[in-house]
Amino acid sequence: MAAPETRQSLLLRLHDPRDREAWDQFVDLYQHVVYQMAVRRGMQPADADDLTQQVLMSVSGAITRFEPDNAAARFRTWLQKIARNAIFNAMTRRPRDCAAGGSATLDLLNEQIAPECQSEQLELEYRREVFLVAASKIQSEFQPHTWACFWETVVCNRTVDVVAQELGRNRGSVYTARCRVIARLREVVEQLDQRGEL
Amino acid sequence: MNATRVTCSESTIQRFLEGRLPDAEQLSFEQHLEQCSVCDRRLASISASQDFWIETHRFLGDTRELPDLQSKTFSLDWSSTEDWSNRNAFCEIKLDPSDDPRMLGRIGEYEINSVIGRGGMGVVLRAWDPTLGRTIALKILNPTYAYQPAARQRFAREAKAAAAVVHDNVMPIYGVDSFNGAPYLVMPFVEGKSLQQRIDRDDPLQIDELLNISLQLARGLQAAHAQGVIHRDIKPLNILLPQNGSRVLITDFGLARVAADATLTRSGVIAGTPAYMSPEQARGAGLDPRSDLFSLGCVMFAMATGRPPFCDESAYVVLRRIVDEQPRPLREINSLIPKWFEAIVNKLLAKNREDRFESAEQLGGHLEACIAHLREPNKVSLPQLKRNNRSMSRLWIGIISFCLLVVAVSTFIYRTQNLERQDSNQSHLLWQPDHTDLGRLEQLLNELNEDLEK
Repeated sequence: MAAPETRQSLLLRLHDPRDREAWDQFVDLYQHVVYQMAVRRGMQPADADDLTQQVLMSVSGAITRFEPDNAAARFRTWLQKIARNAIFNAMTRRPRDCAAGGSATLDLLNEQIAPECQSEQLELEYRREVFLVAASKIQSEFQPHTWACFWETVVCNRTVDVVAQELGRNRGSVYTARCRVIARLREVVEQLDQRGEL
Repeated sequence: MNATRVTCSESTIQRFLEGRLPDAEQLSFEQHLEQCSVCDRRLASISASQDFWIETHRFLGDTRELPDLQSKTFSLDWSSTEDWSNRNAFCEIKLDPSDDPRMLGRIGEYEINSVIGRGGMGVVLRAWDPTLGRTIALKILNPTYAYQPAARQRFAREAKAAAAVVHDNVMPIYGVDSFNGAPYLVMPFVEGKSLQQRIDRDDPLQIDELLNISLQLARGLQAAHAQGVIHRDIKPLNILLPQNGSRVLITDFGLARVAADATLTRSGVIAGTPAYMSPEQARGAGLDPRSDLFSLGCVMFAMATGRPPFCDESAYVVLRRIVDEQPRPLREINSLIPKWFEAIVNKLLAKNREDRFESAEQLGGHLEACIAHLREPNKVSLPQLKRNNRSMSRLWIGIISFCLLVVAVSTFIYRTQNLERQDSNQSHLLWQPDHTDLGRLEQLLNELNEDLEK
């Protein structure tokens, strides 16, 4: 058996340090997304943990197949695609009669496209978890009242006037606050899921 | 008013958004936003596309709480990202050669005689223990997932806990060891069939048989629970009816956890049917011994009717039913079953564990009294089922939930109407209640209900 591959040596296969950074940022968020999605689909926490581990391993295993020379595939974009397929397939695969071995299963996880009928629903669930995880991640970066401006007007859909009055701020600062939050949210969401580019 | 002239330009807005304007300009631009709706809109669209704003409203509005990322840390086990291509080689267990030509091979000191069965979790082998001169059964964790250190450790841990349970109705465990990295259990070799096989037979179980088996299961669970071991996967397949004698054996204590790892490894979804799971298990909430009691109730239901109380082709639907629906009344399926037996099963199948029997011991006592009554109906009267104190308060919970429902619905309607009247700035956030919203409402109410019951 080959010697266990460490995280370091795995990451060294990414020649561009920006790719390594992208990977770290990605994993930091992605694991929570996988976990949340699994739990929301009715899995028990311990099982969701294991699924997360599986999906992460399958994605990290795929790093070895990334061709940095291929100009068409930017790492981040490529990674997002692999990761989406991995989670969709983990969520949709039915148990099979034959015992699937490790590498075969992982290849399937990586490469198979989820069945059409379910993919739309999964797409939505995934996107939703990405937003939730990203929002949770960035919340602490803002002052509570800045966050409140965003949350009350955008999420709860209350009018800027009411919220401004309630928080004792002017309308302009409410506009500003919510735009700053959403701009940051967009940044983090795009680390995981860049719509359109995929 | 203010002296600083503000130019409405993209680059100013961009710099403002990034906080790169000098403080004074920053402030005056903020004030400028008060009046200039053009800049408001530009600022909004530079921050994020209109679709993104809508998605944010929709996705975050769907939840009342953001996931707590701090409390959850994942430790990716990098050591298991070893060369995957080698793993296929271990899908079949390679036995050591045996000196005895009648044997398949050897695992450790044990001579392997034949394969008894294959399950989700691994292979069961019939083997000969030369040291003690007896036939034994070896249960080997499927090597495909024996490679996950987490699963392996859990297997060892659960096996140790289960081995500590010594009771006539619990399958003993002689030892735990591993072979070429695949852990295995050593158990007595018991000839017999599973309760599932018995249920599938044409002739239904008689009431005295039903009670007898139920009582033994309750006593076996009682012994395990006393050791702090929860079975987690009580189902007819895990109950063995030995060929000789009337003793019933519960097998695979605590191994459900390990098996779950296994199925996930293979498929990523919960495999098989979770028909015997408790509602708290189905919801992914914490378990306690009363979860096993619910599962036992399902087993008793299946013994009486031939099928589990909650069934469907889709595992997901089964889970929903377990959580939300009442099973079809037992006596509607089998009218020969006495009313009091149905009452016992119903009590075990209570969605709320507070409403079940308090313990396997209490259930055992009740069943014993029922058996005594069945033997001498004239001398021994039927024991009364104790009503749990909490039951009465549930009426109030119902009333409160209803009031909350009314409030929630009104709020929704109010908000929906309100949205239509939003100013132009926000008109793109228009939002209609649809099925997701209704589902959410339902979930919200369920959760409120649960909170109240706590």
